[in-house]
Amino acid sequence: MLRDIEAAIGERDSWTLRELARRLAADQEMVRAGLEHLVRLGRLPAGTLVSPCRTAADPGCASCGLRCAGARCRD
Amino acid sequence: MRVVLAGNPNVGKTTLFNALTGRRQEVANWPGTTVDVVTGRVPAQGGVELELVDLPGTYALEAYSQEEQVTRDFLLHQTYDAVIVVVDAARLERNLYLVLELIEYTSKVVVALNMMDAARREGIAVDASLLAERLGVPVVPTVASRSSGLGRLIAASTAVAGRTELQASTAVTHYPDAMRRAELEPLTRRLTALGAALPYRPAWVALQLLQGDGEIARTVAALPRGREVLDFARALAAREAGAATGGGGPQPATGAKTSLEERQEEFALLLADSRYSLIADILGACLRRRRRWRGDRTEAIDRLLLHSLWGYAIMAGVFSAGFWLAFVASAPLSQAIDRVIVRLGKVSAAALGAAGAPGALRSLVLSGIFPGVGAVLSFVPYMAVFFAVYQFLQDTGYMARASLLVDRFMQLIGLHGKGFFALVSAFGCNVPAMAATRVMENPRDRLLANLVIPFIPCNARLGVMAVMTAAFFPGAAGAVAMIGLIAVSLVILALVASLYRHTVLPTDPAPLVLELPRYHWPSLRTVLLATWHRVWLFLSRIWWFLIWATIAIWALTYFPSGQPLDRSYAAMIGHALAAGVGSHFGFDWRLMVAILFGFVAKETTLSTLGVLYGSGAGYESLAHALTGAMTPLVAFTYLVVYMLYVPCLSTVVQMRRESGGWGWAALGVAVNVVVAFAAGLLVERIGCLLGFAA
Repeated sequence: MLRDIEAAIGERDSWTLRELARRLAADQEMVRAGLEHLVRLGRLPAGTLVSPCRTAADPGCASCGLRCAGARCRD
Repeated sequence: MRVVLAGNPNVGKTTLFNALTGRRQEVANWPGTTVDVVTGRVPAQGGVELELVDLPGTYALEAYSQEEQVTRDFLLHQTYDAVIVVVDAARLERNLYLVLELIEYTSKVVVALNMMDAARREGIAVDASLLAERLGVPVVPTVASRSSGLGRLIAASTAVAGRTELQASTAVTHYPDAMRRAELEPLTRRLTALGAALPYRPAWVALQLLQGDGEIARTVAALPRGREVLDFARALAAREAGAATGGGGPQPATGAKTSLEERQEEFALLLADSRYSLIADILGACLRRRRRWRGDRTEAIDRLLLHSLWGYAIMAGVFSAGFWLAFVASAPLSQAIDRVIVRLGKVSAAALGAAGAPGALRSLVLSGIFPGVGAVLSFVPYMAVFFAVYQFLQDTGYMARASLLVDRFMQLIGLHGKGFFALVSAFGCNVPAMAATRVMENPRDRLLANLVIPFIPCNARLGVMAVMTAAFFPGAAGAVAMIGLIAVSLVILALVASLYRHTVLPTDPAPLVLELPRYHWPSLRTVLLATWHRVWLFLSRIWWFLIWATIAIWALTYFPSGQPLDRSYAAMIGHALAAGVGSHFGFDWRLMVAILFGFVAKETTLSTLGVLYGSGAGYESLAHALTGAMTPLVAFTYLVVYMLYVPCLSTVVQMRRESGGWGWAALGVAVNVVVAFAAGLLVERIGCLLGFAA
């Protein structure tokens, strides 16, 4: 799966997690784990995966417009 | 009996530790580090007491941080009787990797399937028995926060601790056959032959050597005949590397090292890939995820909103409607404020006249303060509606979709997709937008975003643009003119970014994988609060600038005392600028003075225009004065120049802060000025050719 992720990102720089999971015929959570592992191995730059802020008071909110890139809510 | 708690960060490991040990804890500082290792005592069956060690969180046995190194060192160099690997039942895709690694390392593993309650809430069901069967180790469901499953966990750990460590591999990961036959098995046989001197399981050591684990290599090299085994491991890898690079024989020293390292990295990737394949396979059998209706609805909406054709059409429609709301529908509100300010001006004039105030003071209040401050306040409604629309789009989750649609173009011009978040917020204010670029890891991506952000018109510039487009292009034509101006700014931003990328900042943007938020209907309260917050931030930031700039501009236009406006100090400066630059564009001295003073703070431009055109207080009178002083083509050209030229002083200071030096800030300012006047000249010439000069 890791090689497949690398190959897909080699083809196109920008994906949604859902698109990538569909492309690889894998669960989104598996793809997320794979992306994180590739970052740990240094094969993808840190911050490749941008997720909605999970620490905001309302976990479903996107009021920061994802400016925080999942790191922290700036609003 | 010593039992170790290991696991990824944030899996409830410490909660489990606290639940098991209560107050029977002590903190041990691990030698050579500042990372704490906490130990505690747990009463077990048969009067046995367990010593429980809570290790720092780690994602894998390969250490990348100090915390991970402490965990690895403990697991590799300390003695213990069992390892409890704590996993988050809702995040098994990520957490099982460490489990698989530890199963390869030791046969004394117990899995605590923690946070089962959270997993159930997320609609995730895990078959713990089947998971235990597939992993070949005990799996105990727990909810540490409620002390659930702890007795069974201790019992399983005690049982595992009582067993003898197996030297034979108990790994469940199936590595590729070719790799197993050609490298893993021969190397494992050689390592097994080293006998009891080898402190770890031979199959695990083989995996580590093939991945180039330096610490394990040194351990093996220190053993009798260990050097031979190590050479054999390197030869295996080098042979593969030679084959991969097409070379038949041994490589030259430096080249062989590079190839060897590359091959070892390839091994690491191959091993990780095999483990993730197994995790996917195991979870396919053991985990069930309830499909959520909201997820289906989000996907259905996304199919339309992210469509390669309709997605862009809808985005254009959404933003056009947003701008229409902000700049056309809000006009009555702005005019209402105008009327209030005009009335206040008249009342003040009457009061000052009745009180016999000196002429300079009356001039300051009537020709300085009221026109200046009034002109700015009159565009607050535009700004408020703009921010409300922006906040609404953010809260629905649409902005993230727009980011994705735009990202593909941004990648084409060399900007990282994350830069879009900063660029969108730059429509509010360039200063926080530059701060928002810090989310980009690559310094060059960050620098590039900072250099192009000033081409995005901030709300102060948008305010001036709104007033002037509304004055010169009444009705819907104003919205079209606004969209045209913003399109010009985006095209120029793209061209300049591309220019930077191909000259002084030549790097490829990093890839982007975006997890889209679910759609949801925003609450009115959130939208109003955020809008108020932004408007107040704007007003509170500018009042100091505004008052002083208004006074300074009034002074420059009032003095020398007794002279008419067109012989004032401001006029002298303006005439010089107009003769040198402005005449090419049709800008008179007043427009040039407004451009110059706008560098201090763009928010003061309207007040400057109000003072210089002697329009009195309010938007309507300023609009009337402006339309009487220039043609629509000159106004449009002026707006192009105004929109793109030097950012305000605060932005330049922020740019210096973000780029780490005045050099980049100076370059950015210079590029802005050149591009702004070049674009203005182009617009003016094209306008003249098309017959819009009159």
